[in-house]
Amino acid sequence: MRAAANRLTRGTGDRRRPDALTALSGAGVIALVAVAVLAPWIAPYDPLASDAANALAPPSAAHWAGTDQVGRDVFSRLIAATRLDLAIALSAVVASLALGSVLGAVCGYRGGLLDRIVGRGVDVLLAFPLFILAIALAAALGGGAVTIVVATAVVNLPFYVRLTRAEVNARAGAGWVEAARLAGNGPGRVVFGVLLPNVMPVLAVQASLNLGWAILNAAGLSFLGVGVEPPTPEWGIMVAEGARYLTAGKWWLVAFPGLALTLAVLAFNLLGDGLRDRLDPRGHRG
Amino acid sequence: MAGLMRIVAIVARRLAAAVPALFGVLVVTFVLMRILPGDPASLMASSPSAGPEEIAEIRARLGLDGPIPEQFLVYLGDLAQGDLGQSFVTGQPVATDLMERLPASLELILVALIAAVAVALPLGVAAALRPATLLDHGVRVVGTLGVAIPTFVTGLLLIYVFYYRLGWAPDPTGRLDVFLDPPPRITGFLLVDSLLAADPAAFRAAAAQLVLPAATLALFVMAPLVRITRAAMLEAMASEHVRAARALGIGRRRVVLVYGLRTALVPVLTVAGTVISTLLGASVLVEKVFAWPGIASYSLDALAAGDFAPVQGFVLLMALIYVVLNLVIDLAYRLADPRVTLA
Repeated sequence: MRAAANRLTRGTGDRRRPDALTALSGAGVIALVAVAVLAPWIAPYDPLASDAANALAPPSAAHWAGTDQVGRDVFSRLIAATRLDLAIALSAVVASLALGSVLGAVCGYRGGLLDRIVGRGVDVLLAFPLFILAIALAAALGGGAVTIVVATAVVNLPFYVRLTRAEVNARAGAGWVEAARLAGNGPGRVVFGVLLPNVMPVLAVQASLNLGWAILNAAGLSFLGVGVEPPTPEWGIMVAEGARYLTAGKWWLVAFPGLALTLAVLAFNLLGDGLRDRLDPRGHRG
Repeated sequence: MAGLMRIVAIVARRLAAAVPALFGVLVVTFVLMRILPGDPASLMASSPSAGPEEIAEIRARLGLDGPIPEQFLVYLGDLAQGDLGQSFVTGQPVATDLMERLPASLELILVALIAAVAVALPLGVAAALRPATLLDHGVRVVGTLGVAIPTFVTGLLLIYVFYYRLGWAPDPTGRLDVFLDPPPRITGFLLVDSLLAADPAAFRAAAAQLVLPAATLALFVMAPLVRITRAAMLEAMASEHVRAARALGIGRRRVVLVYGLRTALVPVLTVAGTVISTLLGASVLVEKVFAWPGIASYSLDALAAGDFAPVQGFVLLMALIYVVLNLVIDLAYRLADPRVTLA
């Protein structure tokens, strides 16, 4: 058994010390946030300023990531897009975390009619392939950044509801919950003051794993034309616009926003994996 | 015989259990379409300058003037007759349009799924049998990178390398070279139809068109499959019953394939639902990148033109496909894990 256990954990290192990969991904996330916050100050050019004489120029010393079809600096647009994409993903995850955890906690603690209604609603949302539902929602709400946030948040909601409901339900009969109840706390205080904070670490891991997915979701919607609209700098739109010039050999219009997307998703995924291994060794899956 | 009866009973029971969720799906698609911008009646009117009487008359004909619950009943009645409405762009019933394009989408999705499973399972097993080797690290990198690179970026980069740079792949638009006669339509699956027509040239051409989009889609769904296979196999190989089988001197092949892999398949199948959801969602992006003439491209074109009946039909059809595939997975799960009672 010992040998087997060793083999399972080999390569993941000591759980109490963050391994190099998790530390690196954490640094990546901090760097992304810094770029997003400082975007207007570090972008070398105006991300919306066109320069027709200098359109579709390959990467050079003046334009590190080249220029697009109207001569806008791709590097500056990437920086500006970092802010928008992170803001969308973060808002969506926070929204579904807030709503989902409250709903799930109440359902898990009280049960009853509300629990059954919410459960049915969750089943219905999960009967759709996620991204298809997101497309339908974005189309119905009519595009724009707020629409993407809502679509991404709704699609994500079932997972937070289910997770919180299950975790709260599993703890509801524990001795320390009983103690809180006997100390005279009302159900509201027991759920939101005692149970929910206890479940938060599990939810935080889920949220950080979710951020990468939310970025992909938002970029995918914009790529399809149901999300943020051009000329706003956004990674998905930049890829969609650049795709038209790809078979003319203008690879940088697709490659750089694609790289930005990949690095951002990778950073959040690896950080989430690392956090999960530390906080919840049971749930370790590859 | 008894086994077959049991499977029929399970299918019936699962279908019955899916009814409330399916009804919810109908409500959601109906509500979404009521929110959608644009008025179908004014879109359908003969000219942009059509008078209000004409538009009101069309609204009445479409049943758009009644109260919402009544409209929902009308919608259900139409659905029961297989009527998904009319597309203004193609001028055809949406159901006809969707059925015409469904084989293209299914061909892409199924080929990608088979390719992903065929690569992911052996890779995951091999990595689990030799942990911390170069192969294992490689598999983990693939599993991590595969879910981080957006599908549409993978597709575009494959086009750039294999079509633009190397010239190995054909023009990445559509299912068949425009200069080639398609085989007579029997199943709608070009790979099958060209074989049935004994037309090797068409088969080769169709397969060549399919390689890049299917590979794009397969790469994206392969990553989670590889990860879960590797983890499940590691756990299975460390389990008591595999140790017992080893101790009994059963051959390694048999231990790995029968005692290890069969146990590992159960957790793999539990994530299959998520994998299928990802697959169906990503297929929309792949169809867009490769101008693949399937149901997703069709509804995206309709959406861009403000024609919403095809979008509604598409969402409904995708949800149906998803429910059916989940049912298949559920059956496979019951067959793979003898502990799950066949109730």
